[in-house]
Amino acid sequence: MSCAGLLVLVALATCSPPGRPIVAEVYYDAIGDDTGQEYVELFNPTSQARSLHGARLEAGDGAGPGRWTLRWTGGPGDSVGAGGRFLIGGAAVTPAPDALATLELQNGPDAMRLVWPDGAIEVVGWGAHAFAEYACGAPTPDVASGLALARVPDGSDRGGNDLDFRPAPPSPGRVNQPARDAAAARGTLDLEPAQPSPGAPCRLSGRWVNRGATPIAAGALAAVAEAVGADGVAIGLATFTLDATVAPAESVAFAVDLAAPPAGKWRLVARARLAGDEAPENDADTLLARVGPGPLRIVEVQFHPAAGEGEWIEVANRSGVRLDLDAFTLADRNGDPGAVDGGAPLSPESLAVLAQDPAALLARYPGLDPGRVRRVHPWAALNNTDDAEGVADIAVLADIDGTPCDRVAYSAAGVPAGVPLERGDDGGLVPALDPLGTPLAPPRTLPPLAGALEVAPRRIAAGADVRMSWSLPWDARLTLELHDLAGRRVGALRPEGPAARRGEFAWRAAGLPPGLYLVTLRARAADGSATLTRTLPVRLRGSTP
Amino acid sequence: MRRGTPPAIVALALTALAAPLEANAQDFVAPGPPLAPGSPLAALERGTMPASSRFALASAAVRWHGVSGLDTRAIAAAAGWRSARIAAGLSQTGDPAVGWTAAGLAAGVAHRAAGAGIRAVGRRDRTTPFTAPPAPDDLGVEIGGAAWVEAGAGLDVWCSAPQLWNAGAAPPLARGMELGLRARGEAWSLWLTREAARGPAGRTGVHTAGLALALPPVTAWIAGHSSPARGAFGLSARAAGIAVAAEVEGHPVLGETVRLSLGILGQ
Repeated sequence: MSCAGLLVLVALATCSPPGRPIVAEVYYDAIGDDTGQEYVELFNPTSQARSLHGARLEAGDGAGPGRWTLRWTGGPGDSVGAGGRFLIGGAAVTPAPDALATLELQNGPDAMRLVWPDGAIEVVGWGAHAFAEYACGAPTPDVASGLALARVPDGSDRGGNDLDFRPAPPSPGRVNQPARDAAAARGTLDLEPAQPSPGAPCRLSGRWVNRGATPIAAGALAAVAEAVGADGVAIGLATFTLDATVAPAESVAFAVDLAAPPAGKWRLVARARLAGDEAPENDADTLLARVGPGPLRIVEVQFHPAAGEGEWIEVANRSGVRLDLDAFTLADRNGDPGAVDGGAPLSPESLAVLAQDPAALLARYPGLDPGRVRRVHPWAALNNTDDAEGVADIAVLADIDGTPCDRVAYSAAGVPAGVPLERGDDGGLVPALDPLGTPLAPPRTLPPLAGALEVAPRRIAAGADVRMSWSLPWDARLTLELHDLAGRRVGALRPEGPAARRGEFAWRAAGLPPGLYLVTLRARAADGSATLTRTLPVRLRGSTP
Repeated sequence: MRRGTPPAIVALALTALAAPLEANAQDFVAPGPPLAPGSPLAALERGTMPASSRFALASAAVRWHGVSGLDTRAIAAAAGWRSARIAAGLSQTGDPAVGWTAAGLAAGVAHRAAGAGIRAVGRRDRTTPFTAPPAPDDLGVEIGGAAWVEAGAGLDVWCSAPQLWNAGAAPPLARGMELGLRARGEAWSLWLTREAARGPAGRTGVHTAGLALALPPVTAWIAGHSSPARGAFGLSARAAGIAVAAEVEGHPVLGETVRLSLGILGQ
């Protein structure tokens, strides 16, 4: 093959006319109103300045063939220096464009093309096109709002729009892929536990991405973590270095152990530090966090209503000031936050019920103060079945800006049907002593016990009720079993499930022949650190059948 | 007891004051392998008449599953003339809130190779002082019986139905019919029992297997029970006509059951 033939093939395998500026970035779908925010960036990869006089920028409507509309024409003074960029766009673009134009580019399938005075054309298309004229090779997929179509690397020309362009944060007037750029993967910053106590150990984690064209060597990427308070004052939390090599376009996770800052709302910031970073604007990720208790506390959860009252969650105002409940959201482990209806502020130390269906709840509990029963919409349905880790769901209360306020996980195992859960002494949720629950009322309390287990009465007739009371040194998973005098298991009176330190269980002695039975309490601490077993006899009176 | 009995059999006889090892006994239970030749407690608890006609006196104490308010204390005596046997005893179990007092009487016939008898136990709940008239609901009685036979050389079988007939207040524990088989040698015995299920529907019978080894004056035994699976270990000793025995039985959920006995066997 002759040299000329090879050049022809190479030219056919590219999308950009050789030796002249190329389209480097297209921003056609800003978040919200696009007016004045759209732009097209041209990049001159050659070593000589190039005039744009007579060049035309046209928008293509992929809905039909031949629908090209002129948006801009280069004037005599328009040119691009060697290695320079030329920005064509609206008045709202920053930095100010070299040429102002209303581009009115649309979501795909759509396109734009740059037509040179000598007839050379460069086409960039996005979305699924039915007509070949609207793309070079395969078009790029549509990008999400707020992202631009960026040629990466900046001089890429591999013979197809889909090969040369990728979604990227807008970078008008700047290089699309710097040689060196460590960026935060936005939205990956996380704190565990989500709401630590002041000074308590916690772990901040997230991801960095190498958006540069060259690898980042191990040890070259450092980071700082800080907490910024409402007054804008920052507290340094940690400085750390990543020991991994990060290839271009690869990401790397980080996690740093630190001590939680003082109580309050904080904006946690993790910022990458890389010598020679060419895009410092993408170095940081942020997370709204709360240290210590929030102003509202979840005190009771009804996740399995049995009388049609809908699910509900009782909260207490522990802030010491009146609170507007519509400044909070409620969600489950995976759901979108639900908004709380407004109303009169909640007084300090007062209770309110956040309800799936306030009308049904008030019908079930007619004595409730309607002013303190608020609808949450959408309501995130609380799960009734435990996962492999023994957690059915997590009730998550947050400020309207997403700052955590309170969260509590619960297990549904062993909770009698329809019985709500109340906050136990260690903060976990345990079945309420009152099987109907205590919405808008403090939890029922019980007098102290002399021992770990009491059973009363201990001599009963068939069909009578027996009250079993326990007092444990810790919140527990607890079961009550029945054996006969010979040690044979008769059955479980209360299947294993979460229990408060002090609790009661009512058992109706029905369906058993008369005789002597042994009630056995078996409890193990919620953290598994201890167990306890107690047995008391019960005499079921009656004649031999 | 046969004259000239081998030492091993004598050793087994040292458990004479011990009642059959059985999960489902209640008022007169005491530690030891089954078919003890001269046990007044066994005669009252199950109706198995002892082969020996000698006078015997025994006391027993049981702590059921480690429950402090559920101790059993029993005393019994037995005597015989020719083939006739008779035993009587008193027992009390548990605190007044749940407990009861029992009186037992057993009578039957036995000789060296077979025996049969009936037993009756009357109970009164401890709801009222013993000096006060009992409430009608506090009184109950059960009558049952048992028989055993030496089926072959060193092979005994027995059947016990301790609650053939009940009246008044139900017994604390419903007990089913038990079938047993024992093989014995010079210094050992091995037994298997099965007690039929009684009580709430869905119950299963209880199987027991045990092994006793004698090294006079001491006898040691182990046993395993089903429903639920559990094991027991015991020791007995005798000197100068006085015998003591102790047994501990574990349980996967409940506490341990401890059985003790002290007795005198007439010459």
